[in-house]
Amino acid sequence: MNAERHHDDERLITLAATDDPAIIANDLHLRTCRPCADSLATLRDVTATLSHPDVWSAPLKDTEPHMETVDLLRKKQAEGWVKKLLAAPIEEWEAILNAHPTWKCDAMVEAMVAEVDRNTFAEPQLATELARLAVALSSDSSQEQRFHALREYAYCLYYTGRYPDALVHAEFALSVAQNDVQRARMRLQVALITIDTGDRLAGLRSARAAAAVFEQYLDTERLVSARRTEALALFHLRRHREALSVNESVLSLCGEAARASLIQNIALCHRELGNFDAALELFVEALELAQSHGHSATVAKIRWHLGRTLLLTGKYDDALSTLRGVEQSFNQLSMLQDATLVSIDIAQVLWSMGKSREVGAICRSASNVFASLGMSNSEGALTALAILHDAAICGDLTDQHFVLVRREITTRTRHEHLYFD
Amino acid sequence: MNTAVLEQNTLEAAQTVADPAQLEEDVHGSTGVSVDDIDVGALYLEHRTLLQFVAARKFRVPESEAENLIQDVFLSFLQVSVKVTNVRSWLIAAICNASRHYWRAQGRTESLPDDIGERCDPHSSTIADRLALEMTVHQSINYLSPKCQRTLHLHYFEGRSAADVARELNTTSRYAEKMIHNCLKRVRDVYMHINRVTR
Repeated sequence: MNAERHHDDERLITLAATDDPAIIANDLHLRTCRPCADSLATLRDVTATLSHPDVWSAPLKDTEPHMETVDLLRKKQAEGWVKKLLAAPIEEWEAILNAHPTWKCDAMVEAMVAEVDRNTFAEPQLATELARLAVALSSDSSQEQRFHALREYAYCLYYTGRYPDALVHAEFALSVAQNDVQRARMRLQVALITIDTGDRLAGLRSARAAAAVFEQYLDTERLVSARRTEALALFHLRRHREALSVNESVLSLCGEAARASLIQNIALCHRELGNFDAALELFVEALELAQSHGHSATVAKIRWHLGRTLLLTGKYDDALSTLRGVEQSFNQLSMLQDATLVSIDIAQVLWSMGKSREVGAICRSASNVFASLGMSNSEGALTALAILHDAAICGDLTDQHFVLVRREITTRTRHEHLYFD
Repeated sequence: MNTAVLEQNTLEAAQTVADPAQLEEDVHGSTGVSVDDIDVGALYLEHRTLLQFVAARKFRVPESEAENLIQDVFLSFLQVSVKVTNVRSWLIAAICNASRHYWRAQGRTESLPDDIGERCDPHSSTIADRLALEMTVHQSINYLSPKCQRTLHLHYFEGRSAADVARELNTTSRYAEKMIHNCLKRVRDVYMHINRVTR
C-alpha cells in the first residue's frame, strides 16, 4: 500500500471496530500520518461512548444559558474584587486596578458605584476616590454604568465641597443620561451645586422641574430629594417659613437613610425662625438617627449646627465642647474647609466667654489652612481673618467681625446658613 | 448557598496533603487560574452544558434543580483562594459533590458505581475529558434522524450484529452494514463540528 494515501472512512471504521491492537500497530500509514491517527482516535472514542447508557438519555430541555445567572455571578465576582480593593491602602487602588485588566467591566463599575453610595456620608474621602476610579474604569463600559459612575462622582465632589469639579462631572453625566428620570436626577444635582454657589432662584426652578418629573414617574424617593432641594433653595433665599413647610410635607415619605439630614434641615428652619427649643430638640433627634446609621460626616454636621445653636442661645460651655468635637471630626474626615469654619465658631464662643486672647491663634491657624487650600475666595477670607485677628489683639472684637469672616469664607460655598446677622 | 459544594475545597485539600508537589504547582504554577483574572460569566457560558449533563444525566438531578447546583458551583469557585490548575476538572468535581449532596438532602441514597475510586477526582483530567466526550456524543446523537439513532442504538448500545440490525430494520445485512457505517460517520462529523464550535 502507498503510505502516503490516506485511509478512507470505511478503512478507519473497520480499524476502529477491531479488538486486535496488533492490526493497528502494524498499520504503516497510521504510524506516519497524524490526521489519520487522530481520525481513528475520534472514531474509537465515539464508538466506545455509544455503548454508555447516558448518551442515549433524553435530550436536555434547558439548553439555553441563563443570562440572569451570568449577571449574578459577575456581580458577586465584582463585589469580591471591590472588597479586595478596599482591603488595600487607598493609594494603591489605582495600581491594583491597572494590574487586573479583567476588572475593567460593567459589573465592577456597578459594584464600585454601590460601594460609593454606601460610604458617601460615612467616609467621604474614600467614597470620592472610589468614585473617581469608577469613572476612569467606565470609559469602556455601557452608557448606563458610565452615567451612574459620573453621577456618584459628581455627588461626592459636591458633598466634599469641590463645586467646580462637581459641576463639570454633573454636566458630563447629564450628557450621557438616557431617559427623563436620569436627566432629572442630574438637573437636581446641578441645582444643589448652583444653590450652594449662589444662584438660588435657578436652583429653585430646577428643583421644582425635577420634582415634577419624579412625580410623573411615581419615583417617591427622588421626589423627596427634589422637594428637599427646593426647600434648601428657599432656605438660602431666607424664605424660612416656606422652606419649613416643604420639608415637613415630605417627612412621612422620607426613607430611613435620608431622614436624619431632613430632620436636621427642619431644625435649621426652626432655628432661623427663632424657635430655638424646637430646633435643639430636632437636632438631637437627627443626631441619634445619623449615629444609628454610622454616617460620620452627617453626624459631624448635625453636631455643628447643634453647637452653633447652643452658641446662639448663650450655652457657651456646651457649645465649646460640642464644636471642639466637631472640629476634630472634620479633620479626621479630611474636610478641612469645614474644620476651619468650625474653628471660627469656636473663636466666637471663646470671645463670648471673655477669652479673646485665644482668638488670635485660631485666626492664624485658619489663615494657614486657607492659604494651603488655594481656594478662589481665599483673598477675601484671609483679609477678613486678618481683621478679626487684629481686632482680637486690640480688644475691639464685635459680632460683626465674625459675621464678616463667615460671609467671606462661605460665599460660593454651601454654608451660608451658618452666618446670621 | 449549598455548603456541600465547598466540600470541593476539602477534596482538594485532601488531595494536596497526599501530593504536596501538586499543591506547590497549584499555588505557584504558572498554568493555574486565579478568580481575580477570569470572567466567571464567560466560564459559566463555556462549562454550563457539561455541568448540566453531569448533574442531570449522570446524577439524575431534575433539570430545574441542576441550574441551582451549577450556580452554587460557580459561587463556590469565586471563593477559591488558590490558583486552580484545571478549571474544568474542578468544576466537574464540584458538581459531583453538589449532586450527591442534593440527593442526600432529598433523603435518598444511591449505590456507588464501580469506578467510584476514579470518579470526580479533581486532579484527574481524564474523567473530565470522558464526561465532556459523553456530553458531546449525547448532543450529537440528537442531530441524527430517528432511523440513524435506532441503528446506532441497536448496534453499539445493545451490541446487536449487523444481521440482527437488518432483521430489526427489515432490510438486508449488506444495507444494515452500510447504515451502521453511514450513521457512525454522521455522528462523528456532528461530534467534530460541535467540538470545533465550542473551542
